[in-house]
Amino acid sequence: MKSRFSFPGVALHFNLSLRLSLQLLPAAVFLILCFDFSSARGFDLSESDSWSVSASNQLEFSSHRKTHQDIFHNWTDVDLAYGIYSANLRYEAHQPDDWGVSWEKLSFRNVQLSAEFLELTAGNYYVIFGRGLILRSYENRDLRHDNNLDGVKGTIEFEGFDLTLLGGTATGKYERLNDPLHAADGKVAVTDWMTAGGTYLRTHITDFGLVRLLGGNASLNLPHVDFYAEYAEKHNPPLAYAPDEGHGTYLSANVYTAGLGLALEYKDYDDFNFFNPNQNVSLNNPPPLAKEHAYTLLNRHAYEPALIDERGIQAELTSSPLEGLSVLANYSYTADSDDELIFSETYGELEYDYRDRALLKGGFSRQENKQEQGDPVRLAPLLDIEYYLSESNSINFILEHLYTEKYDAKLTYYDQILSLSLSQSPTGSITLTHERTTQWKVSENWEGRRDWLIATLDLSLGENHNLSLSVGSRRKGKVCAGGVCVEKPALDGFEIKLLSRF
Amino acid sequence: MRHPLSKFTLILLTTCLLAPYAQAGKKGKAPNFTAPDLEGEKVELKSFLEDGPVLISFWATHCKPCIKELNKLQKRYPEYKKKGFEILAIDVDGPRSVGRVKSRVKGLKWKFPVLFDVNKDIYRKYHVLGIPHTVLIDRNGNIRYTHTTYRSGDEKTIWKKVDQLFAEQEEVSEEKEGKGSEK
Repeated sequence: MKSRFSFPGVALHFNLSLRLSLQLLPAAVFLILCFDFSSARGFDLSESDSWSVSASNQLEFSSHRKTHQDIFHNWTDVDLAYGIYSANLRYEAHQPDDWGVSWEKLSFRNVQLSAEFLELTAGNYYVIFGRGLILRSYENRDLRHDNNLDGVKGTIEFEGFDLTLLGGTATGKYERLNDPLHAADGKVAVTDWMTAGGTYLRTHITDFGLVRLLGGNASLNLPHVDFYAEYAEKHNPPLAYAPDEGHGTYLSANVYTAGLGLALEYKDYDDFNFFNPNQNVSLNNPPPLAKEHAYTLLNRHAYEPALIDERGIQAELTSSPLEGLSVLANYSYTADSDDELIFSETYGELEYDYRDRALLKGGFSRQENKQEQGDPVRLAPLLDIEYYLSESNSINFILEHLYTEKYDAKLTYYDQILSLSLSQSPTGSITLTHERTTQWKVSENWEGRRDWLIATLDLSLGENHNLSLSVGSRRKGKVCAGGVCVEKPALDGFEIKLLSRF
Repeated sequence: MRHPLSKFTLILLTTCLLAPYAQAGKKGKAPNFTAPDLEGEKVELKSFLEDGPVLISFWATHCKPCIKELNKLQKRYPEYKKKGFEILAIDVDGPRSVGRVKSRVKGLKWKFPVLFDVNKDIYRKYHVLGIPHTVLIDRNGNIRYTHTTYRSGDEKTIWKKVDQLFAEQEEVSEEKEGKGSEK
């Protein structure tokens, strides 16, 4: 399919009818509270009296050789600020997006007041409560994810007391949902080393009913150790496909001393998937408790939590025992309530900075994933060597190997990525990446390729522009962040990315 | 029917035309912000600027080049810290790995303050489009240098820029002293 393209007329969809009823109530309460506090504290509302404008643009364009398809994505953000007041706008164009639909719109607009201990937002906003068990609205352009809320949000921070009240509707994939959501989140510093908080959220989902979530959290900060605990419950109408109650528990502890840190985490999620079935918008994003990998092959096979019935742990040790040497060890384990394994990974990494001449890194991962067909076991050694040719020139070689066994080792194959990169600071770098797989030998009706080769030129154009030009072929595959994954399409042609700030 | 390349070309050309102006002109004031540090204490950018220039570095635990850059900066940090310079490493991990940041930082022996930006409010304020992203701010709150990505040797450019800021600071204080003695 060849994309059609029309130059966008800047259709400003200012939907400022902010559902005046319940959504404005939190703001009204806040305004009353804030003016009350402001008169008592006499805070300065005129921090700066000058106008400032800042903007950024992210452009991605790719042209596919065989399908003759051109894909264009663009995000333009403009911020206007005057003292404590600001306005933020974003215009997006996708021709077409990853799901084949072309669209363009003013996707984000708001006005904000940010005073010393008060912040008020009207329009679109992002928010997270605690560790995201109850609500997380965020944008991730790599994942093409944006579930911003549109409404009113007010936050007050006063003498160790934080309170956020909000009302709004979430963005669906293409249209805004009609179901208003209201929430309150508070936190109080009980002592210098302890805080406690609570959250309440309610939303009435069309054709589903009233959904309520409530929870509490506490954190302790002691010398060489800290703890965080959060518990939340979800209540919704009983339906055939959704139990009427769910809960989530998340615990974390950090134990550390100079040069040694240990993080321990625990999760228990039971029917805790909070989403709006109209357009399938997910509204919470609890920690998945699995290592997030920067290397391509391991990132492709990251764990995706379902939040239906899972409990698990994660332990991560970081240490710098010798000058130039650092160690990272990570273990994660997720099982269901019958102790049936869902996902586990053991990962270790050693990095050595050899007298500022070379950086040597070796790692190894072993994964078991019962979510996928064939219950794959994956073994992944990796090697990452950077050699400094001079003060500003370096050469980087990366080897990623991923060996997969499925159906009790009856089916095996490997994927491998080799990458060689030459870079000059601060100008740019050129990278050659080759990927090959033997999966074609074991997959029936394999129509895909066996090898992919891509060259990428990255250039810093002054301080404010970064240009990346890739030519060749790249394999399709998942890209994951925070337990959320999307399937990225393959590339066979060229791709240009341009990041600009003004 | 127009071809998408026409729009792409237009944006690219506009960007290239505007680029020199973006470079040559003032980069503007750094937006002030408040964020919690590793101990949960809320700290404000403005308070660090009272002592000297500040380098903001946006990073995350899954970002290899970010950690590489901060490890390199850590090497000369104590020397510059004595002069009043500060590095604020702003973690943008989000809820997925925020529970592991503290042990990672302690394990890597970073001495500079690490702040949390879980909701990415500061990230958006500074128009960050990718990490690592560094912003150098002078004592008066002006942005003096920005850089996205990390390549080995980039830290030398940063230290050079910081040295320039200290040299400027000295010049200004010498001028002030000179005027004072003339009077």
